[in-house]
Amino acid sequence: MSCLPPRFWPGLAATELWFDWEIDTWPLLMALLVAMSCGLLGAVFLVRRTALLGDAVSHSVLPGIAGGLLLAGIVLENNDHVFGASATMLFVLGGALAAGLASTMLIEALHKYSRIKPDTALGAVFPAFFAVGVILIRLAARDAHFDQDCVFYGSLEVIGELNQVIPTLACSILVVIFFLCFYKEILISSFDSQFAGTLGLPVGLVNLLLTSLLALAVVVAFEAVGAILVIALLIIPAATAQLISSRFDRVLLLSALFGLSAAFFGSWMTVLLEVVGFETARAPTVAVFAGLQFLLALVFSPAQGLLAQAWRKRALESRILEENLLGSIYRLSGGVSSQGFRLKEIAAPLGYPPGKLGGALRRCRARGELDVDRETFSLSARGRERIAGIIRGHRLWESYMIHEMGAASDHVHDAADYIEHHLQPGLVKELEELLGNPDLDPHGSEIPGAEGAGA
Amino acid sequence: MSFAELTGEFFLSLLGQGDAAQATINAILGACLAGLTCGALGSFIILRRMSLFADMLGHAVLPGVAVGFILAGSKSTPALLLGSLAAGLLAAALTRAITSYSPIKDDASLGITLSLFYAIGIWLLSWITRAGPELSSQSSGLNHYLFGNPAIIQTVDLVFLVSAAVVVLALLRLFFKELTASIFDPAFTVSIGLSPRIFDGLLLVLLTLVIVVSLKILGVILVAALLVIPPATAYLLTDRLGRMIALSAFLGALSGFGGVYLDFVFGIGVGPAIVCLAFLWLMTAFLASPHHGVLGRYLLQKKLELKTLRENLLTSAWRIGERGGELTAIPIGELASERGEEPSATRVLARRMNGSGWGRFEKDLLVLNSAGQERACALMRGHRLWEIFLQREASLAPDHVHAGAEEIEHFLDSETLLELEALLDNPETDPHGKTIPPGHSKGRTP
Repeated sequence: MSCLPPRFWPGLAATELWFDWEIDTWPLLMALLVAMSCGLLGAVFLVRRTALLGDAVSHSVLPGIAGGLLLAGIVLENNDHVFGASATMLFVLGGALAAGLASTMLIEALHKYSRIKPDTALGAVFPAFFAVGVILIRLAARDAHFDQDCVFYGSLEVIGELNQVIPTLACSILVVIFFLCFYKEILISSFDSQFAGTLGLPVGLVNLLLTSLLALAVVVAFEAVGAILVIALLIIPAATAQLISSRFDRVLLLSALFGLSAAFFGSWMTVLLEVVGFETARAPTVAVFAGLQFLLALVFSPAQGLLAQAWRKRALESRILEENLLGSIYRLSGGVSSQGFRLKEIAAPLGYPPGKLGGALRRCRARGELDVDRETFSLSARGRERIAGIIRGHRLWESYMIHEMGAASDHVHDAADYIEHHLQPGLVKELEELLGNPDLDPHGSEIPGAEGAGA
Repeated sequence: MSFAELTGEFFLSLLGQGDAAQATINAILGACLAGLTCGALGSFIILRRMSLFADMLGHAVLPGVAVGFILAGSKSTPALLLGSLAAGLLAAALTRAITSYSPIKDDASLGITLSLFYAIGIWLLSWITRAGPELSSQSSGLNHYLFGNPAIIQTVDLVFLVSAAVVVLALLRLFFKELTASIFDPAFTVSIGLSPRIFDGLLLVLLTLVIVVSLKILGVILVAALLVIPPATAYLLTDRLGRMIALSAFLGALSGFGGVYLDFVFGIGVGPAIVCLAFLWLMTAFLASPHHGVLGRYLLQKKLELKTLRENLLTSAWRIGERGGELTAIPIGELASERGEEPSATRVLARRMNGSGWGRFEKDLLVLNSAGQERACALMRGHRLWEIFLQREASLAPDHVHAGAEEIEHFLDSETLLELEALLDNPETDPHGKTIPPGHSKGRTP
């Protein structure tokens, strides 16, 4: 039965490292469903730059949930067994929707009808609603209807049967159906709601449905992950997806996927941690895992990650160094001779210490752009071809600045020095046409021909 | 026990001796100090548009509490404070890093940091409460950091609260000018050689400090409320920063006291009670603030509408007088035909002239006294001077100037009139060829 080497974990069975399906099936399913619907919805709100709406709704539905529970307790007292949990759920849902709506309207009113700024209105209304919710929950807990801790920790652990998962399942199915049916409307209204309006798309309806689904998702998530942790599932997978891709369909899919993976691996992590004696609640572990995914993406994302950015920056810096090195030799040689120069001589006009060019020198030599003769370096044909294009861009830009922008001829060099590394071939062509293909730059230096090494 | 009995007991317990009385007094002192400090600092926070940032920081100190507890092995207050201070600063740094180095926007990065740090905190707390007896026996009451509970305030907490209050108030006083400049005019701050970022940093450190010492009272989720709600209330009540800070600190302390009292009587939890009370003040100010409240602005608007209505009657009367009619007593019928209304409608309007000090409605006549005639003259003069101004200086066609003048006539004061006169060389007639009524020095009848 044990497939792990006993010398690592003496007395440990493989089953302990994996889910115990008899206990874990429903909590895992619940976590997956909640994370998926939150991931999908959260991505839309993130793309719409209203990411904090999830924050808002999750804080402000608390009084609705608690109020609904209290009311259900009063109204359904005698016939609880007739309607059962579904009737209570309706009360809770109704209360949550009403509270969500009320808080949104109050925020709107506060900054519309007074000088209070929108962010202050947000920051004032959420905690106030939450405080009312906490008071109501205390009152509800007094009648022992309700476990206070679940507001914070969620209660994934206590989900033991299919019945408890059904509302969440229904909500997730609704969310998925909504996205399948209204994908186009969501897409267009997220990026250009005016355009969507002119197309005759039901923007208002889509927005209303989105917000209602958000409230619904927050309510069903409440039981699973608590009132505040749901923010993590709404924002973090969506932000992770946005770090990987900037296409709407991919962000949606990735966000749902990251939600699912956080739910799965987070749940698994709880099992594994329990084995090593680190017993934790399941919902926060899922949220922490989602955060872990985000931090990993922040560093390692191929498109936007810190490493990719650093790598691109480094590549650009080395290219600029190489181009400056070749350019310096080109200028020293007057653009024509294949005379060689010492490293010190090359570095001097650039204002670099010679050591700074070492790497660039090595790379240019490896690519055969430099000829080496004892201690001196000269441009090879290939190197001359590469640098002539850059010099051409530089000198065309100087002419452009003087002729078209009216800059003084002694003010253009630095700007051209900077831009020469970034001029695209298309732009150079445009400059040529605009300036009538000049042969000399404003300082009287020759502009190398378009076909490479010039004369 | 009834409400009144409980209230009596609450105030008696303040005078009493023993542990219970001491606990109540500690709770009140703690809540008032937290409210005071949060209120004072919060004024800068909401003006600097850092309200949501404060909300984020409030949630984000939770893992610091947990780590401080784990490292110290007990609820030693300094350890928890140091831990949460570190967590708060780390969260601020992460928010900044996310916005600087990724395409994620400000508000989303606040949401990410908030939920991530909060999740880590809850995760650690869930471990602490389930961990072996050596930790969990110590941990009872750590949950108070979620909702807050001043009943557990001890002398050492009060010492921290007092020191934080002193530090915050002293620094705010010391850098009052600089902070004010950096909030209202960052460009000016730069021009006098100060970087607004230094003051943002100062606010960040003070913010974290205040949140950390207030945690035991309000808990991580509600602490930001005390930093935002009382200042927002004060912002609706006054236009001066100094008064706003004082008012906001007072409201914060008042909510603190009231919260402890409400909890004593109703047992609803101090933190939530404080926040609800503070929010109640905000709603009251929102509705009833004299200048910035909904009600106040409604009354002001009504007053302005009445004034405009009365003044329009005066100008109509003046036009009748210009055509040779009587200006002291104008028949309603004539006034109605001048205004192109039914006489019954004009009658309703004319009745509202009563109490204006310009005249009254009497026997189907609008009777104007000398003040009313003078006002009518000034209005007409302003109206026609403005028409000339629009035509000459703003190059509008003569048939396009009436509407603009109709609106502005109610707002031209004597100083502006003098300026207009000087600018336009005291003209005699307006673009429509009508005589401009003379200024104060000459006669007043048309």
